[in-house]
Amino acid sequence: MTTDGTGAATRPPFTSEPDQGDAGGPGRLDRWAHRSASVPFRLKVAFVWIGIFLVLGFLFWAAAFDRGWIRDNIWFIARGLVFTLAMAAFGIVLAVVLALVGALGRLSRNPIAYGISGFYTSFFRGTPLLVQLFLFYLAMPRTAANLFDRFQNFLPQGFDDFFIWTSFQVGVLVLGLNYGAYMTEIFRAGIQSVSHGQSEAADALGMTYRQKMRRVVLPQAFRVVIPPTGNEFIAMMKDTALVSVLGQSIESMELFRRAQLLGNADVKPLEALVTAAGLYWALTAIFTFFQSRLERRVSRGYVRAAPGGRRARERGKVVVTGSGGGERGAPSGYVLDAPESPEVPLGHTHAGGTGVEGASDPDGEAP
Amino acid sequence: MTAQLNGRAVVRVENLHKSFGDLEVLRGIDMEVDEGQVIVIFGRSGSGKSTLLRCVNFLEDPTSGTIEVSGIRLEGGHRTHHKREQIRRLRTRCGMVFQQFNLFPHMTALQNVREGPVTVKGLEARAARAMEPDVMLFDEPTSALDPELIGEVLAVMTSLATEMHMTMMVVTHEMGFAREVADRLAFFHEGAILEEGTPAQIFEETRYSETKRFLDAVL
Repeated sequence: MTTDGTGAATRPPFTSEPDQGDAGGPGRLDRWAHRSASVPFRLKVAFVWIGIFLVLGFLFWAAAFDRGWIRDNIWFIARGLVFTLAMAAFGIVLAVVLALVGALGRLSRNPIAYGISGFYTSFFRGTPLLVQLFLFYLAMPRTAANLFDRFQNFLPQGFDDFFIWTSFQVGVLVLGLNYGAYMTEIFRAGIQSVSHGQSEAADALGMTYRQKMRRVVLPQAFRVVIPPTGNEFIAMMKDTALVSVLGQSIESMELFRRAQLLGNADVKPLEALVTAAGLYWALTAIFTFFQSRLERRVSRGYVRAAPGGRRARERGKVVVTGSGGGERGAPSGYVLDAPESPEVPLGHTHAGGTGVEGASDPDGEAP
Repeated sequence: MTAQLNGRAVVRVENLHKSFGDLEVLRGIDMEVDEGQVIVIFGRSGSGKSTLLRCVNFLEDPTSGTIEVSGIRLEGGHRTHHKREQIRRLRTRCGMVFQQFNLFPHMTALQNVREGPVTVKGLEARAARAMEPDVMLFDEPTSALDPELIGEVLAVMTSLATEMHMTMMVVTHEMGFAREVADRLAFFHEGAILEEGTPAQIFEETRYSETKRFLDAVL
C-alpha cells in the first residue's frame, strides 16, 4: 500500500521543509496542499485508517494486550455468531410480516385496524428495547401464571407453562415486534410511494382490495422497501447482543455473553470485548457489502435499458397491462384480440393493441 | 355477451348529482348510451366531464342519482357491503383509459408501453380475457401526448368504434375525432349538459352561445 508510486513516493518530507515563516507568497501549507492533490482521495483515506489502527495497536500493546488469549478463545466466542444470525433471521421475518400488517393498518380507514396498528407502533417505538425484552421474558410468564391461578377452571392445563419462553424465543419475538414497529413506517412510506393512479387503475379493473394490494401495489412498494429492510437487518444483528442480559440458559450463549463470561473468568475484559466487537463488526461489514450491491441493483431497475427491459425487448414481446397500460393510454386491461398467452407478441396485436406502442413499429425497434 | 343487449342502453345515468364538500360538480345529469354508440363529452375544465366518467364506474361515489351499466343498477350515496361487491361487478363491465399517463420521462413512449410493471403482466392479460368490457370510458386519453401519438391513439379509438362497434364514452377536446366518430356529443357547462346532439347538430346548428364560444376556441 505504501509502495504505491503515486502515493507514498510523492509524499513530501513534511518535517524537513524549511520554515518559510512570514516571508509572504505561497507558504509551506500551500505547497503541501498542491502536492497532496496528486494523491488519490481513497489512498489518503486508507492512510488515515492505517494511522488509527496503529494508534490503537500501540495503546493495546502498551496495555499488555494478550493476543494469545484471543487465539485460544476466539472460536468459542465466534460460535455465538450462529445465535446472532439465527435470531436476526427469524426476527427480521417476523418484523417484515408485522411491518406489512402494521402499514396496511396505518393506511386503513377501519378504526379498529388503524387503532391497533397505532397502539403497536407507538408502544414499541416509545419504549426501550431493553425494557421490552424484560417485559416479555419476566413479566409475561408472571402474568400468565397469575391469570392461570385465578381462572384455573376456565384455562386449559399448561396455560402458564406455555408462556415461559427461552431467551432465544423472547429475543426473536421482541426484536421482531420492535423492529416491526419501526419498519411499519418504512412500509407505509413504500406503499404510499406507489402512485395513486396505479391503485385507481386497479380499482377500475374491478379488483378487490386484496387483489389490488397483492398484485399491483405491494410488488411496486417492495422495490422501495427492500434496501431499508436490509439496513434494519444489519442493525438487528447488533441488537441481538442485548438478549445476553436475559439469564444464562443454554440458548443465551450468545456471542456477547460468551465473550463476557470468558473475559470475566480470565480477567481479560479488553481482549474479550475487542474480540466480540471485532466479530460483530466483521459480520455487519459483510452484510453491508451485500447491502450496497443490493441497493445498486434495485436502483438499476429504474435506469434506462435495464437488463430486464432488454431481455423483454429481445423476446420481442409487448404486454397490455391494465393498471400500468391504462395510465399510458391503453384501455385498462383490455386486449383487443384477447390472446391465449399472457404476453402479446409485437406486431400481432390488433390495430396497435395497446394503442400507444403503435403498429407503425412492427420490428420492435425503439426510435 | 353483447347480443342480448342489442338496441338497449348499455349505460344509463339518471339524475346524477355529485358534490365535493360545498362544491356541486354535477347538478343532475341524465344520459343514455346505447350499445355500439360513441358519445363524446366536451366542455371547459371543471365543468364535470371527468367526474361524470369517474362516477360511471364508481371511482367517485355519486352523491345521489342512479347509474346502470349492463343491467347492474346502483344508487348513489353510501357504500354498503353488498354495494361494494356490486360496484366490483360493474367495474368489470367497464374499461377505462385515464387522463394522466404517468409516462417515465426518461423513456420513449414505446419503452413505456413495453416496460410496464413486470409484476402485473400476467394478471392483466388474464383480467383482460375475462373482461371484454361492455363500455369503454376514455378520460382525455390524448391530453398528455405529443401530436404524433395523439394520431395513433385516435386511430385505435376510431377502429374500436367503427370495426369493433365498442360502446364508448369519450371525454376529449379532439373535435375532429368527435365529428367523424361520435354518434352524439354532449356539451357540459357548470355541472350540467347544456346541449346534446349529433355532430351535425352541434357543429352546424349550435344553439347556445357558450357552446359556440367553446367550439370557436377549440377548433
